[in-house]
Amino acid sequence: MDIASLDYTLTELERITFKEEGYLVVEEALPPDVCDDLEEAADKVGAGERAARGQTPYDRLSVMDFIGKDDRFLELIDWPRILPKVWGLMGWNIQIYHSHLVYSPPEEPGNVSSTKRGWHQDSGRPNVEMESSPRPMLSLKVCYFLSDCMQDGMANFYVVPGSHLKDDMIPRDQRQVDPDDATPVLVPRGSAVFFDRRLWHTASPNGSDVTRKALFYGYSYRWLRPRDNMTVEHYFDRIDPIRKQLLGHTVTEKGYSSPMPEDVPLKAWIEEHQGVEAMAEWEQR
Amino acid sequence: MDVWKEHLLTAEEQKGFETDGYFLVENALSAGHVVRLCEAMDRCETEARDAKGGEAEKRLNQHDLIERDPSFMDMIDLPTTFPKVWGLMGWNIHLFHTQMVITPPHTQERIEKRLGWHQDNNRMNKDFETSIMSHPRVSMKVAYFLSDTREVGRANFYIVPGSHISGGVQFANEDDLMPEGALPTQVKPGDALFFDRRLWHAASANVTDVERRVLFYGYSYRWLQTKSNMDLAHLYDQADPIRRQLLGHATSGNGRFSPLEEDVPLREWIRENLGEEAVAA
Repeated sequence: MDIASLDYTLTELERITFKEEGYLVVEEALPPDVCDDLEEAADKVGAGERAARGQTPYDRLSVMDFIGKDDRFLELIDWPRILPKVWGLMGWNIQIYHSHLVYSPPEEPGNVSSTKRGWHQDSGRPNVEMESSPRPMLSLKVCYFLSDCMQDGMANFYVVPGSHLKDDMIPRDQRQVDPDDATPVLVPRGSAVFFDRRLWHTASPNGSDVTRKALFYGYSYRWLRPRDNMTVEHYFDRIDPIRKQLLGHTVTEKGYSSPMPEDVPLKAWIEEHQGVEAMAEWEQR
Repeated sequence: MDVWKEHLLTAEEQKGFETDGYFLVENALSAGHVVRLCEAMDRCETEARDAKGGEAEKRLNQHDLIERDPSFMDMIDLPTTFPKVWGLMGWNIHLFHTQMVITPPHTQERIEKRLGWHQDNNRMNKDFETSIMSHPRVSMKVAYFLSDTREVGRANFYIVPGSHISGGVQFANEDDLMPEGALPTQVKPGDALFFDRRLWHAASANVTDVERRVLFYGYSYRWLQTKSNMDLAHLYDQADPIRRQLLGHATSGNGRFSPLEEDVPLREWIRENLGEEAVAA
């Protein structure tokens, strides 16, 4: 873990923004050269998948479980400018549970409205099966933008700010229509957008001539099953213990439900470098 | 499985579970079944104590029973209880924990201190950021009592009814040993106690001459990790589709969150037997 992470811990303003709005924009999360590298890796994976699936250049491409496909994707799981904010919002008992590469190319000429809205909260069944209200967060995603998304109409990520505590805000039969407060998140290339999985959000059509490229990294508590098959074990013999934790590795018999220190090396690292008080919230509850 | 329809969750049981966090099903196991399970427990106890070098007079807490005896496997979809489990939780469930506890006679002197009150699932309770009064259920357990605990002092399972949604346990005075509303469950061999994982509960000392035995079967949604690393994939071939689901089978990780039909054969069984409405949620 890079000690430079300590320069990017969650600020109070960021915490309040995330808790109130359900999302948070961090610009310049990735420098341009890193964006270039990631874009090259993503293009390669995307081209392969598109060919394998027989997709046209106009089809939206979504590749889950992509972290194991290129070492450059591995670098983002503990990215110094981002991971400290994840643990600031979730504590130390975390893992990657889902990753998602999404390319939204320009719409086919004459067919611009082909992508309907699909408003949703993340995670599928847990939204039905947790009977309490408001439902807990369980997970959040960090979306890295590898292309500019500064104007509306560029396949923007749309959200309803503050909707993460409104469990059943949009009825099932109304999810193809924008609610009143629908807002496009306008960000430059290299930005990271954090969002609470409960935030109501949707993809949108791309009316521009630029393919929108985004990488989603989902972090959850370790007692949640991964949504991906987590095809990452080939990394295990050459990564540090914190990365192993983040990729879902556990050591002891009940390491997911009742973790021991060796299951969660991130905890000791944070406590040693940032201080025990940084994690006090997750001990006092 | 037709027999499942004779043991569906009743409205009274559902209300008890939602309001009090538990209910009791008397005689869930026949006397003969209790004897057979006790024999399996004997074998399991010998193995476990040999392996751990455990002392026979100490409490034995053994997890992961499924592979230890065929009779433990047969409990996962027991006709007298399993229909009530999916009646409470729906069809997207699996087994996330199994445990047997043997509390020998006079395991502990009556100690003048508080019991180990807790909710199940450990870290989850600290990781939820919502108020404790609105934590979700996520999992539940069925406790099968194989010994007579109708008298107090026999390592009774203590609970605080209603504490699953009331925000925890309260001690009226600083030196009180029991929280307000606490009671020992007093049940006979063969009875099954269903309880919400959020219900505050505690083990207690056995101060009598009667050994206490109990089996716990924990069911959760399929998106929850199992409590211990119970990888039962090698048993899928010999199990029927619904058992396979309960043992943890999924077509992919995504199949636990957005299940396909083949992920959840239990849904199809319920649909066929009770109608579409029963699986609508």
